[in-house]
Amino acid sequence: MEGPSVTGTRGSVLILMPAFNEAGTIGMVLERVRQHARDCDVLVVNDGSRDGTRGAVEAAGVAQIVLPCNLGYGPALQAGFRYAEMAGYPTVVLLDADGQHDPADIPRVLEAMDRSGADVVIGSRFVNGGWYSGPLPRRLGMQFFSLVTGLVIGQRIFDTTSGFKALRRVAYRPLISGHFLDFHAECLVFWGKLGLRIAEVPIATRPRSDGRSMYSWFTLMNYPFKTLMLMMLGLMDARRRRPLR
Amino acid sequence: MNLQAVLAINAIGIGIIVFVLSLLRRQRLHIGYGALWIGASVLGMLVVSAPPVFRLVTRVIPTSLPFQAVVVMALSFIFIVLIYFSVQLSALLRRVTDIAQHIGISELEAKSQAPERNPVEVEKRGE
Ligand SMILES: Nc1nc2c(ncn2[C@@H]2O[C@H](COP(=O)(O)OP(=O)(O)O)[C@@H](O)[C@H]2O)c(=O)[nH]1
Ligand SMILES: [Mg+2]
Repeated sequence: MEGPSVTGTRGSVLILMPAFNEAGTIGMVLERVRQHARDCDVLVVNDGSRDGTRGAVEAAGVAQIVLPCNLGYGPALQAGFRYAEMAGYPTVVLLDADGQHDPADIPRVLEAMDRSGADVVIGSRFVNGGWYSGPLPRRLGMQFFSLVTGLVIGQRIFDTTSGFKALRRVAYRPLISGHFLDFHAECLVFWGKLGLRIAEVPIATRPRSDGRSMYSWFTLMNYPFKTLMLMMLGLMDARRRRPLR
Repeated sequence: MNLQAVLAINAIGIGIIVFVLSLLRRQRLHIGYGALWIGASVLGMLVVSAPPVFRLVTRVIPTSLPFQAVVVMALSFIFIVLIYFSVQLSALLRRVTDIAQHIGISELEAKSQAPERNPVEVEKRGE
């Protein structure tokens, strides 16, 4: 799991970890990835971090794409998808670097993918009655987008805002270009309309122990508008494309 | 329009032109945008200073007061320029994103190919 190499042997799963100023946690997260996902390659997308993130990733011996300036979560992950596509990874797993996701859940998510044949597996906080104790507006927003997504694609997705996902190539390839915010509801309806199969498995999450969430009150106010607009754009885009399944 | 208004608008126009020229001289403004603002200022001054042109404008933009035609013209210009700039900014954003992604990926590839880091042994996932 030393990370992707251009000439060396490569696994078939690439764990993509977006990181912006996560020096406090990323070393520990990478260590746990090493323990629980030994046979996966790991690639950190270091999005212009100004703290010691780069050094922490280097110390862990993990490959990283170091972006020269902060592009934001979406475009940073798009760089990772671009790399995964070039390197030919059949599957990528998205996992946060802040320690909120437990790398011990990776095998379960991948097993669910193999078992169900789904193209997208969401590590979900809410399926099976899980509960999220964040601020009320955020909870309401999550409920709202879960409902809207369900109406649009005819499948209830309980956790539309999870950053822990496994994606087959057919699912991540169309994301390399185009408008996406955080690959949340806007992305789920896009996948749904392209005929991709989506599954959810329960995961454990922990509160943030260090660093800051990328969602400030301002981005949270913007989020519903942007996501709804992107949903509509995504639907229009999906209608122009041929179904992938 | 009365003389005072014409003089005021011309003074503003000259002020803008002088400011834009100084920005251009200090290379703080791209020549294309400099030309846009100077051109717009000259045009605005011409409209209010030359009665035939002014009459033409008030006929094309029918408002109850002739002066309002100038305001409508100015606002439309500003609105169009703002949309144009949003498009320009979006294009720049896309280019910066592409370049940044390209730099990041290229550096990773250059490193992976460096002999001391190779070969990287990775186990195959259950195949
Ligand atoms: N590439 C990139 N990653 C980011 C950025 N902001 C946050 N992240 C990462 O995205 C993941 C989730 O972000 P976080 O702020 O914890 O979101 P939350 O858990 O939904 O509040 C973490 O691994 C962050 O390091 C960014 O600007 N660029
Ligand atoms: Mg988080």
